Amino acid sequence: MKRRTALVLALVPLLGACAAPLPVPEPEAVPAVAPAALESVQVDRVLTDLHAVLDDADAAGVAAAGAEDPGAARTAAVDTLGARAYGPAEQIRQAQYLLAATTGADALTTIPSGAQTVVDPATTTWPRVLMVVTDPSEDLQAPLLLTLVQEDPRSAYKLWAWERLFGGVELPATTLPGVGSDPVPADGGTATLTPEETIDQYVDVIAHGTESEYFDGFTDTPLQQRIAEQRSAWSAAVGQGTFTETYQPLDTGPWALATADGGAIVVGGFGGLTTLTLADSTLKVADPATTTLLGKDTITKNLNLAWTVTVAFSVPPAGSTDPVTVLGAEYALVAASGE
Amino acid sequence: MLSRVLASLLCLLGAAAIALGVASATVWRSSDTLAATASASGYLVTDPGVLDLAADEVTVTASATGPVTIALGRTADVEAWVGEDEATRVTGLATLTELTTEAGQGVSATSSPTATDAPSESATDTASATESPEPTDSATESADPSATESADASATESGDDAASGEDGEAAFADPSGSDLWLTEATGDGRATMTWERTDGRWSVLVAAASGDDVALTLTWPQEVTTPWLRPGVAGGSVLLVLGIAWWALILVRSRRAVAGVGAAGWFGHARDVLGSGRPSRAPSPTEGTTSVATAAESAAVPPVAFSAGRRAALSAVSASDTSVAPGATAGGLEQPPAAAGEPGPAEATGPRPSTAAQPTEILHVSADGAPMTRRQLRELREREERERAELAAADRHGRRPRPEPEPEPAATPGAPQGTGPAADTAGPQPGAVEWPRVGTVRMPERTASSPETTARVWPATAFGRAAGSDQAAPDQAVPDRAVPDRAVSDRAVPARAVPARAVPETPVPEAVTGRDTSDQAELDREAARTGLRRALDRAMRRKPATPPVAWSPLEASGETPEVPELPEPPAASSPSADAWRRAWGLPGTAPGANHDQGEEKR
Repeated sequence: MKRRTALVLALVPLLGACAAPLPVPEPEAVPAVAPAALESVQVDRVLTDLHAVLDDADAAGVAAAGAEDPGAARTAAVDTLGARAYGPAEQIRQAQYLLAATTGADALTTIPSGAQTVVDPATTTWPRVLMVVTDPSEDLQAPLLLTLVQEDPRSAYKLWAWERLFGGVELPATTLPGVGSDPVPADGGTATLTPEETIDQYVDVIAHGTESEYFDGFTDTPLQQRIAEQRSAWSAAVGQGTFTETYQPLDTGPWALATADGGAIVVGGFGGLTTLTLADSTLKVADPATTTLLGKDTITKNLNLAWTVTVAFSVPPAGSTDPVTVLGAEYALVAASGE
Repeated sequence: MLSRVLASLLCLLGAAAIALGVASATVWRSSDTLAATASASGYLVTDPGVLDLAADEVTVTASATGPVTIALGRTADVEAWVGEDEATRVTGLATLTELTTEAGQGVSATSSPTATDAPSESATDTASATESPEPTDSATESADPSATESADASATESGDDAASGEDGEAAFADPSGSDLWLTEATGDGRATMTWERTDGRWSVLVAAASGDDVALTLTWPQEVTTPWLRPGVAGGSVLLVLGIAWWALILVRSRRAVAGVGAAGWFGHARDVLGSGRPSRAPSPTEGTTSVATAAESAAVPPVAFSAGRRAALSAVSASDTSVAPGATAGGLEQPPAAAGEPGPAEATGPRPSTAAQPTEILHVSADGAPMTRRQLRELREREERERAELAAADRHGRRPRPEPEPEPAATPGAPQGTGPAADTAGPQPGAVEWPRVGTVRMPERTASSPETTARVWPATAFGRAAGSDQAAPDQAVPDRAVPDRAVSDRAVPARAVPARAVPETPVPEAVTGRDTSDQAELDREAARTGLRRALDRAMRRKPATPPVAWSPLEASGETPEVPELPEPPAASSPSADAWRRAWGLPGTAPGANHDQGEEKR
């Protein structure tokens, strides 16, 4: 009996040794700093898919002019586009599909597929913002700054806006895409201005020009000059009538990512509404885009024009006395109506 | 008797240890993958760390009825995607084939703020969309739809999220195509993905498009160690060799003991071994019985001769000239008996059995994979020569009277008995009958397994030559190969090398004695190991004077006479430099001028 017990006692640890302990998961600790939200392969995939969708939608949008029901065809094109674009980008593109009826594919802004810079967000929350600087397009147009936004975990990164970069501007240094750039909340960040302040103040500058108290806070740009030119042209044309302009930031955005030095790249947009009221006169509209959107070239009573403008800023880090650099903008007439 | 049992036991133990060692690495080897499965309906999400639970590389397999998706992403992203929905979490291993799962809802909190945010945002969206940009409705007819559309879209989306959070599986979303995933795999019924460990926290989300049951299998490669293979085989081999050596020793001793009674002797014994070994391939009962009759050990020997390594083969083989035959160089060793065989009829039968024994021997050597060393061959040859001389001398008197009582007393009575029957009954007849058979049987085997080209090559090979010589009359075939010459020339090689390299005034004796002693020591060692001490002793006694070795004089000259003569200061480097120069065909050690030239050329 004693012997058997001894035998069992000797065997038990042997048997125990035979069964290796099951491995246990050893997860890494949750990182203190959020990793880049997108690996480069994911960025590539997103951009590839974006361009695939753009190509499809653009082809449909341009072809819509010849369709039996151009309106429905255009709507279908916009629906297609909706998979990868929303907000001002979708609006502007939709208007361009309309313009394509008269001017063809030239009406569409070329969005080059090559990316020379990727600013990847480092975050675990939503919405997430991805910024991409494209290569210069084939027709030597300026490179575009694309802003893609993922609103929530289950939606895709959608193109929110593109801006043509002005000649001579330099994009502020950002951290490598593998590391990721911190997202800047609309009302926060370490730059001299929060993104919301930036867009609000710039709208003020656009609306009031040199009279704006923020005029010196931004670099002068071709955008301001163009808006000023338009303004003077319309006010001259309206003669005895009235001419009003209102500008208001868009409801979505602004989006911002931190730069390496603590500043921010802010992308925002605003809508402009130009209202002309004629007094006992007719006005012949020369601008092809306006006439196309309007559907006629002569107005007798009034004219309402809706603009969508998207702007990219480089806001210097807190403590800097430099003005906010306007990196680029896209300015498009998206709707026109009048009698 | 006891020692035999012990020796056999040792062999058995050794074999068993080898077998166990091999089995531990083959039959009993544990699986080299670890595959664990979990299944659930809806979403199946692995916890961080589960993917690299058992190895750095994992193969994820998902199966379901219908389309199924495996999505891999950062754990935070996967959890955020799942959001408030019910998901089954895979937390670890339950057994070696099962994963533990935990039903969970709203895996992480990170997604909840966005979930709540989204509706409010979209609410303001729609509000502002209607409110702000267009006080005059008519202005933005075309712009309007898009604005409301996008707002609607986001509203419905977030609405879906909220709904799915509340209703559980009411709204099941397909994870495929999301930008969150680093990689994803989709398949109909089955999807597979491999993943290599990467820094960070990663998870997979598995779901059938329909939301039905889905099974997830994680397969990790396992590094399987075979800790018992080497010790088992090594220890077993040692035991086996010891056992065999013991057996060999026992046999040698017993032979000595039996010598007076009329044992078969080395020659006869070896033939017995070979003879009784052969039946295993081509049964010849007569041989088997004779061998058993002639020597008591022979019954025990064959297994040794066959199973044992080269040493056992040697002990059997070294006695018989036949064994030497297989190799190309060894083939020459056949010749002497053949040449000696000419004089008498006894000799004519003599070589026969030897050739008859060849096939088995060929198998032996090739099977062992241990061809005989040159020294062994030499020893054999020398013994042969001696025996031949004896035979030649004995021929005049009759069949191997064996005048010398000296080294091999066993051979005297044994030879007539052993070789006699072997030559008369077993030797020539089975040999003659078997030869073609063995030859024809084996050759096709080889050729059949090899492509035609090699079949054509075969005749040129050692085996082919052996077979060819067998088909021809052994007496004829053998002299053709004047191998002894080759052997001699082989040995002459160092001698030839000497004048080429060595400095004339080499103190030869030193080198010779040095080599002799080392040679002797080696031979002694070998003799001790094989138990063939006496045979070797004889061989050594007859050994011709060893020619000086090519390189030893060089070394000697480097030490003694040359150094003072050399003008160059570095005495130590001069021999090597000299050798170097000679190797490159430059003038040898000579005056400084030459030396300099050599260096300049260099």
